[in-house]
Amino acid sequence: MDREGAVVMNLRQLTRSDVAIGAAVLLLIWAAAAPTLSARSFRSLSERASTDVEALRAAALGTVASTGAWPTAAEAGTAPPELSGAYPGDASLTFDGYTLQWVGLAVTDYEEAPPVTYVAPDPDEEGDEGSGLIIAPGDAPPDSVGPEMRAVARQIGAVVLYTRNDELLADLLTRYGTTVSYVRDSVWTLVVDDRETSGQP
Amino acid sequence: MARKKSKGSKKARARKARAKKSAEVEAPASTPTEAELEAPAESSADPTVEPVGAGEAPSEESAPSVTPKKKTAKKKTAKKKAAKKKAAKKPTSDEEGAAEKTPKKKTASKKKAASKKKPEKAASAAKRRSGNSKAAAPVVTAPEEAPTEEPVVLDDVDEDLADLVAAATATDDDIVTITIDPDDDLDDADARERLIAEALAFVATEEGEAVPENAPSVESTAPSEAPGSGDAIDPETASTDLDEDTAAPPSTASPDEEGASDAADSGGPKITAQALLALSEIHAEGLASLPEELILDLGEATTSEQRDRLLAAALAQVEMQDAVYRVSADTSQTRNIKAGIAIGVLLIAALVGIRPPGLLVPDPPASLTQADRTQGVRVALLLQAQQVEAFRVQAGRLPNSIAEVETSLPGIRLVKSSNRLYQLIAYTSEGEPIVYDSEVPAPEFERLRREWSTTRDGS
Repeated sequence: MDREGAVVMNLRQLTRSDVAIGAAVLLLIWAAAAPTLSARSFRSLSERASTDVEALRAAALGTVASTGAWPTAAEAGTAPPELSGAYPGDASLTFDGYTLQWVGLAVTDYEEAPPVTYVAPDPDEEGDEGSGLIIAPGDAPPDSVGPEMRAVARQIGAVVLYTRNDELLADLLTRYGTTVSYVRDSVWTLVVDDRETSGQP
Repeated sequence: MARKKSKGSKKARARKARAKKSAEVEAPASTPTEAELEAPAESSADPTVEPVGAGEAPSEESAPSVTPKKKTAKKKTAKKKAAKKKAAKKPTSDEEGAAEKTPKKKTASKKKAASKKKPEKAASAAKRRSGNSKAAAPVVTAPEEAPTEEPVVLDDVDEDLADLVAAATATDDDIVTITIDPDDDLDDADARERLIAEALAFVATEEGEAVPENAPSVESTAPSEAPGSGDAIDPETASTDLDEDTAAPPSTASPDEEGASDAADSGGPKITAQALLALSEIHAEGLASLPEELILDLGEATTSEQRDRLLAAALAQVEMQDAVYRVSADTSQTRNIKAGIAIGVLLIAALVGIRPPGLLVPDPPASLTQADRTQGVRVALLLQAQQVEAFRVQAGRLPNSIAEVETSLPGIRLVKSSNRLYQLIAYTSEGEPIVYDSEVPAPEFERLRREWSTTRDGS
């Protein structure tokens, strides 16, 4: 109680000049500490965003591994129903400073087509024209032809992050690289492919 | 039924109140008449001897609530007052004879001539004041209401002034019958105010508990103060007593005033140890606040301890107010120096805020470049081309619009040049178009496709 009383008395004896000096010193301290505090705050935000992106990506890959199908696309800020185990509760993907979304993508892969077998027509049977390629006499034998490639579509997914913080977008782009992720406007997209073995941040 | 009390009784009650108050306030003037008063006071039991005493007897009978000790004290003081008044005016025998008639006559004329507004006003004012004195902090209001000048001698004012006081202190029933003639010499407003204040103090003490007669009271320290008059508190006197507490307290009570002599013998007005402790606590706390236990209504201060507390609270309040205005005054030179320091620090703070030194700034986070944004557009176009190709593989044809594709990325437009060829167009943030031609993709797309395939295939 004595100490509090002394503090009260000292505060009452402050003049305007003292108050001005105190305010100026506080302002100086704030100006000096502001960059560090801001950087620390941004690092915290970036870490949180990266953690959430990784969690969503891991959940999607886990779903593919367990069920063989990708999670269905969902609205921004809402987790797909297949990921309800990873995001219990309201399954909200809206966080402080950013919003996540899971989208489904399709890609075209080229794979080797099954080899064509040549069946020559049976001369004993009328009307048998055989099957496969008709190779004129003198052409290269069929096994000398390279494998035939055909386009195959398959499903992949992507984690999309919406934010107005360009620094966060740049930081995520730096973390995940410009090959599997890209930034357009205020959206950062990370392509998630179950066949990828590299490109991890 | 109380309204039908005899007028003489009302008058006597008023005299009683006035006499009691005069005993409190009146000081040395009453001392010479003590000897004179001795005989009438002793013979007050006989109503026929003294006209004033005759009026007094029924009034005391009509106040059964008064304790015997109090009654005796009041009787004494009333007798003294009456005798003093008698000595001052020196009435003739005719006047003495007419003394008994005076109350009736005056009351009768007052009822007709004077309006009842004055007593009612006085009564309402008295109620207001008494209410204020109870509601507000007594330590503040008490010194204002209390008389600070010379003690008021009731002889200076008319009897009707005492009636006014009585009206202020009486109950509503009594007010009906007590009136005042406005033509009387009630022109002394100050005396009237003081009397009303004293009457209020008297009422407050009447409402309180009975005070032990031998208890030391603050008021009893005043020179030649009447015994038993310590019911009312005179803050002016009280503060003086507190200041003189270290000195020997005066004890100048008359020998016939037993209560006063008892009070004086008991050491007079001394602040008890508890009150001093409370006061020291207030000082120790920097006078920031007044403890609740020290806040006491003036009308509730009936014991000496309460009065001491009240006194300590009053002093603490004064010091508190002083402390509020006790601000250290800087000299102009000091002020200028401090102002210069403040301005200098402010400038440095502004400089640091606008352009902080590198030592204070950590590594800046990565920022998006134009190349990054252009690369993003290309990746988006390539990804959208993948969606179109997937649609063609599944549907065997090209989509008619970008909306037909399962996943369409925003900001990309599809242009079909034939059934097999198409172009995807997007724009950078600077408005520059980037085109993906399915027939001959740009080298950037081919390189990006290879990197992407390499990455996806893990090779």
